[in-house]
Amino acid sequence: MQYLKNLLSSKPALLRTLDIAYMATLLPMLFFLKLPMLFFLLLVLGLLLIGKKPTAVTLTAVALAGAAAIFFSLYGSFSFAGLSRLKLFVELMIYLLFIAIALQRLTREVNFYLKISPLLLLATTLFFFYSLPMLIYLLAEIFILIAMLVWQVMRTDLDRALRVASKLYIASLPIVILFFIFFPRISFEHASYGFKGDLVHRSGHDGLMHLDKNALLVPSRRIVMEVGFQKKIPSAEDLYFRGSVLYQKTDRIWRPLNASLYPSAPDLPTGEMTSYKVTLYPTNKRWIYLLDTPLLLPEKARLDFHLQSTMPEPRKETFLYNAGSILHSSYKGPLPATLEKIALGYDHKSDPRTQALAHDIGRKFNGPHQRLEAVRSFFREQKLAYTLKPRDFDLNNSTDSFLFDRKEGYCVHFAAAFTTLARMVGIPSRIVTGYRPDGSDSVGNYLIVRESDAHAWVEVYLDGRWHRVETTAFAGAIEGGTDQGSSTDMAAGEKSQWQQLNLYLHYIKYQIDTWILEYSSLSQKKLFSYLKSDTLFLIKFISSFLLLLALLILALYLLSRSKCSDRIQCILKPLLEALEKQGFSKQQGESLNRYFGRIEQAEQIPLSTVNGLYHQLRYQKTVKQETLRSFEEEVRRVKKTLK
Amino acid sequence: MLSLRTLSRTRKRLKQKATLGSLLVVLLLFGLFLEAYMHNFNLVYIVLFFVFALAFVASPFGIYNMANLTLTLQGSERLFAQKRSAIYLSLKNDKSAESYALKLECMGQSLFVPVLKAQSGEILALSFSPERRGKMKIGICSLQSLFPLATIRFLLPLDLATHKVVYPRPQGSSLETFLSRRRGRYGLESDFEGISPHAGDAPIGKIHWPSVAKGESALKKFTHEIPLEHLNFDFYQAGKNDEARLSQLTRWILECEAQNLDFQVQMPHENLDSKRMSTDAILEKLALF
Repeated sequence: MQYLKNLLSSKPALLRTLDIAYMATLLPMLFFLKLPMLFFLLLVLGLLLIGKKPTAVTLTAVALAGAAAIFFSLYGSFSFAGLSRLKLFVELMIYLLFIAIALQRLTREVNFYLKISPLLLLATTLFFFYSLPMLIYLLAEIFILIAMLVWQVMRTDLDRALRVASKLYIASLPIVILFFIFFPRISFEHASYGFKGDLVHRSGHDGLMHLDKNALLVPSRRIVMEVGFQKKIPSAEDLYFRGSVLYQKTDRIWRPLNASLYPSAPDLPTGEMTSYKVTLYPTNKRWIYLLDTPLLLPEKARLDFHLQSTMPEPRKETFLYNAGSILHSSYKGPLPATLEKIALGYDHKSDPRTQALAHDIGRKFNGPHQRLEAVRSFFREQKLAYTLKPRDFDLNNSTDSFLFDRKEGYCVHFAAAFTTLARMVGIPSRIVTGYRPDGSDSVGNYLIVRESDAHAWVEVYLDGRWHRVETTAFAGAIEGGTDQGSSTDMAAGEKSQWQQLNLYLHYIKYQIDTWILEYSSLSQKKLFSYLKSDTLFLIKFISSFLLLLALLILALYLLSRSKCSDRIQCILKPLLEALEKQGFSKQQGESLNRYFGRIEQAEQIPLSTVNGLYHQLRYQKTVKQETLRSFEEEVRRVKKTLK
Repeated sequence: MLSLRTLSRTRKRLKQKATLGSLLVVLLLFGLFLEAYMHNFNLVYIVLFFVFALAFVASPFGIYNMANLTLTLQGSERLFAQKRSAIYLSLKNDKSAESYALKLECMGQSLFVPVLKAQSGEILALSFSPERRGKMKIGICSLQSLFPLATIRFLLPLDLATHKVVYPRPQGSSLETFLSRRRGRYGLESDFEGISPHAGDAPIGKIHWPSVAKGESALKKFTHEIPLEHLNFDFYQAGKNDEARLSQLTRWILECEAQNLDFQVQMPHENLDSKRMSTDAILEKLALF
């Protein structure tokens, strides 16, 4: 506390302010600097703490250590071709800048580039971080840099400099906000110009379905996408985000068909469209996820014959898109003969018991509807258990193993077995993979979709339509954990307060991501169109801005008030001001005692008690709290009588 | 709080100059725009807008910092050519907010005032050494401020429109030497001149010890104790050239003043008498000669 007080009342030294600025700008860099460079920085810090002015030998040694640090930091990743990678190039620039700064800082002589280097470091940091924490840190970092600059210009105590810096910061906020909203965004796409963007390898839904232990890839809580619905969130029964559609099983893996075989999308149904905005985090896959049945796709996206939505390139960056869907569990579409053959295909050499069962059903029931109902009934009767940790299957006869032996599994096993059996009884069917949130991770119109919401379900072709079948609904029991997607009938339990808070934080993060980090020309156009067309929105927008302006002005006013350091004077001040207002000015050189005496005599205002208490407090050795309270009350009382 | 009227009134009185900081802001804006444009990083846009907004709002803050400041000449010491003296200026802040980082520039000298409290003033002593004697105009001083961000320099010219007279540099031999030399016309100048025999009742402090050493008993006679006829300094005999004469006369006059002696200065066209004129008036005559 004493240290803080000393710091606040201290005068600036140029090197001190620069050091603080360097600390502020270096902090985020510590998260991506390579170890050798960190050691180099530690070495420089050590030399600075020793405090001796370095000799030419020391400086040469530091320069060599810096060069070695660069070599070892970039060893392996560096080549001339590598320089075309933006981040590597910037990283190299930063390392070189570090060496220059270190050498100059060690000499304790401030030159121009030592002064501007914090700004260069700040600008280069932004190549590496693009997230909400960085946004928050950036706002603080800007404030620190302003405060240091103001402190240096004012050459007064830090306390004053901080007040001035706060005022400047607050005064600049409305301009920043207005510019941020209205400044035309005419930029290129992210890192697509000049330098190649770094590859982002993140596991997302990989478009395949494994029946072995690879099946459940990442049952984590990592967020795959955030969805903001224009109206309220649809019910859990309609929240099927469609991904890849799988037809063929080879090597224990269900795979999609080559999309180019069936290039055009079928005629889609019409009806009320549900509009929503998706923030899809990088998956490194071409699939984008839209609610069943997709209707409105983002630009450049393609909807194929099987209603798979894909982008021309894998998504390596966070992708924001607007989409629209009609929430039907079935849709009408043709089934070409070649595709029907595939949709009825199964391995005749495996799963003999299932084949026998299918034969039996085929014999008993003629129509596809009855056969489908028989398959459903069989699934229900088998009392299959839902578990994320099933015992090992016989992978050569996986359907037999699941339906007759193990009788446990998760969405993948349910969907695979159902498809196989449906095909065996002559019903064309396919597996659809995607995400199926249960709607519990939501605030208002905002919904979070996580890795653990990954799901697989089945579509069967009947009467010229593809019908969705939720196969995990046949589970008679649930054991252990669940994947969120399979929880159709599994109501989400009461969320703990922490979970609720976490969800709200995610919601705030989503809004900031959408409106600040990912704000683009598209968002700008959308906002402008709202402003033009929706008067209520326009009024709300202007009112919000005016309210913000009023708050900032209030903050400026509070900061502009002169600081009261003497408590006794602070208590007395309102009374003196009130007397001044009444026209009783204190003459120059007049003591307070005489002033009060003069007024009391002339105007019969009872000031003698205040006068007495004031002088008692002023001249007694220790200030008694009781006297101070009496003084405060008396001042208030006299002030009231003046009114 | 800022009042627009105060701002506009003060702005009219101020001159503003670009600084290295202004250039840096322009370069920074350009660089950040390129970074933001190429990569569409909204964080870079935020920094860019902050830089612009801060540079923009710094102006009214800087202007208001200079509002209601007045500078008046409070007086000075006697100013002598080529001798360090001080003039006193009163810097007042008549607004209800503090002013910061003010730099007063006057007659090639500068003074830094970190804080000037609201509704208060400060007496500034500006120490300087005038080049030559004569009338010196304390003309336009300026208050400068880089506050708050050093991106722009605000300059408030303050015309004091006052003349001060710089007296000649006091230089040459002392009044003692002058008196000795004058007596020297009638006898020999020596260290023993101006002493009288010891009467026996004089205080010990007055004993002239060199005489005692020579075996005599004598008393010191201080110059002011010597009943002098009116001191008369002749301009032409005071030195070899005009400047030397004026310097010499100035020194004698100052010493006469210190010893409370009346004197006359015979100038080429007038006679300056200390009984009729103040020392300053006589010195002024010399200064303006």
